[in-house]
Amino acid sequence: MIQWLLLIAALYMAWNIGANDLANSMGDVVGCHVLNMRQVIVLAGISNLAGAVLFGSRVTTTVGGGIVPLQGLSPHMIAMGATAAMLAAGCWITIATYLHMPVSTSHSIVGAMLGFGLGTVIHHQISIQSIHWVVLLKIMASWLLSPLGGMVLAWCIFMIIKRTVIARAKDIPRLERIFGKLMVGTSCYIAFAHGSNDVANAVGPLSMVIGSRVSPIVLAIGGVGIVFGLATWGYKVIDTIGRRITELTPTRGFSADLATATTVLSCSAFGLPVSTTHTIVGAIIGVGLAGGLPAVNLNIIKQIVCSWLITVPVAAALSLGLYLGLMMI
Amino acid sequence: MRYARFPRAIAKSPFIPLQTHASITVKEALLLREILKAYGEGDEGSVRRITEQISKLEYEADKVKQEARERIPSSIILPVDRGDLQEFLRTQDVIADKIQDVARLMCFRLYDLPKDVREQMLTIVDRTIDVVEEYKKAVTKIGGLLATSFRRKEVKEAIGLIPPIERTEHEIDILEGQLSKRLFQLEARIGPLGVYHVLRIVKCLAEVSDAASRAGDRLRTMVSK
Repeated sequence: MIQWLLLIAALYMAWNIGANDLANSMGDVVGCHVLNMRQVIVLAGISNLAGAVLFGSRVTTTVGGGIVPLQGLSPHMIAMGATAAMLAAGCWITIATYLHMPVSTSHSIVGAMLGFGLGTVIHHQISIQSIHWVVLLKIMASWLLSPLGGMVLAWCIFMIIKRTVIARAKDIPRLERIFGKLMVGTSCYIAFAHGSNDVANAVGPLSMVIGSRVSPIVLAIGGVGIVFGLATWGYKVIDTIGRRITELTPTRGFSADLATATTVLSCSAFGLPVSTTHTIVGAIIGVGLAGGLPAVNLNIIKQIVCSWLITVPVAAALSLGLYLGLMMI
Repeated sequence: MRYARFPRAIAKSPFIPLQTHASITVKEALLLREILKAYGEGDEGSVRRITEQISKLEYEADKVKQEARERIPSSIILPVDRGDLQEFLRTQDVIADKIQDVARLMCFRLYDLPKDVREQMLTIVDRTIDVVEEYKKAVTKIGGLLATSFRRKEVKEAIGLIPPIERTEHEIDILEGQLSKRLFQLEARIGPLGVYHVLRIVKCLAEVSDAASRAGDRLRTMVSK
């Protein structure tokens, strides 16, 4: 029974990630009118699934077993903890989406896993020191560093393009068309990077229940769920975002996408769950600072920092409450 | 609809309303020719009607300026200096205001002017329309570049559109001087108050091109940095 609940929660989370976060990273390619919606969904779906299955195990390991020490916990506790964490993160994401808050699924699931850890501490199963605080600290540092990395990288990439290609080009519309074609590649890259990082948010807890090593089947379940979310709901989000960022021409979109995907994929290599959406925002600011956009809104930095500060405690508290409740049944 | 949690990273470009504003100003300037014709013919009804049209356009321009201002809060990063842009918006608005002032002055009282004076005034109006059109060309070109490609080189080339504005403005200054002198000879025909009144109209007309040339200069400062 609990396994099914867990699977449904994981699929809901995956659906949500596909509907929102993957869609967020596909906004520019549609905004630039390079590909139509169907092409975007097919390409992003395949790339995302590939990223999840081939490269998703490290972050999944961090989310599943990196924060709460599983030794000394019974399988029942782990199953309850995983369920509590999934439901808590899923609920918070749903509320935040409704409130238009730029909340990250990565932050939510990390907060929720911490809540589960604190629940086991309350039950005297583990001591508070044995929670992997260092890993948690590293993850939180990466939340700060990933948008900054995206910003710096995007600034550099756009500066290079501006100095070398844009400055010499005789026919700017043609140059933009060429970069439009290149964006097909960067979009696949960004979807791949997203899959490698965000699949963990859906299946991290699930893999924790299943056992020691992360199985490709689990990653594939997550990946398929994400693609399903993109196809059934994400196109609306892509459309909204595509309309909003019409100022982002292909040379700018290319810079932002390349910077974001590289940053996120590097984080995946280190097993760090980061927010792709926040990294894109950092990259867009980087392009703006390099003089590539008519007006960049800095208020969003405040919004993003607020969402960090709220998400971890809220997700942790929800998860803690759910865990304690589930354990009483 | 409430299904996106992607923050609005790119704000609306303030360089679009700036171009709209210039187009409205040209529409206003074109009405100057009609109003002067009606004034010369002593057609008070038409003068009033055209003044109303000009006022409507001026109000429209004001709203566009307001919109541009709202698009540049301090939380926005721009490719140009914020102070320069604000200063440009202010001078840009003066052109529209001055055209309205000319029309309003004409409404106060109509004087019967000799043909040569009417013709000289018409020349000034025609040259003023030229200035405003040249100004609009510069704003559209440079504003368009700032809104889309940001190529410094192209923007600097577009600065070449500004000196013609200043040249025409200088011509108008000379015409204004000549006409003012001629107006004093009309004391017997329209009385001292009449001379004063028409002088003010001509002065105000010259201020339109002054404002356009100042706005052009601000535009140059804004993009030269």
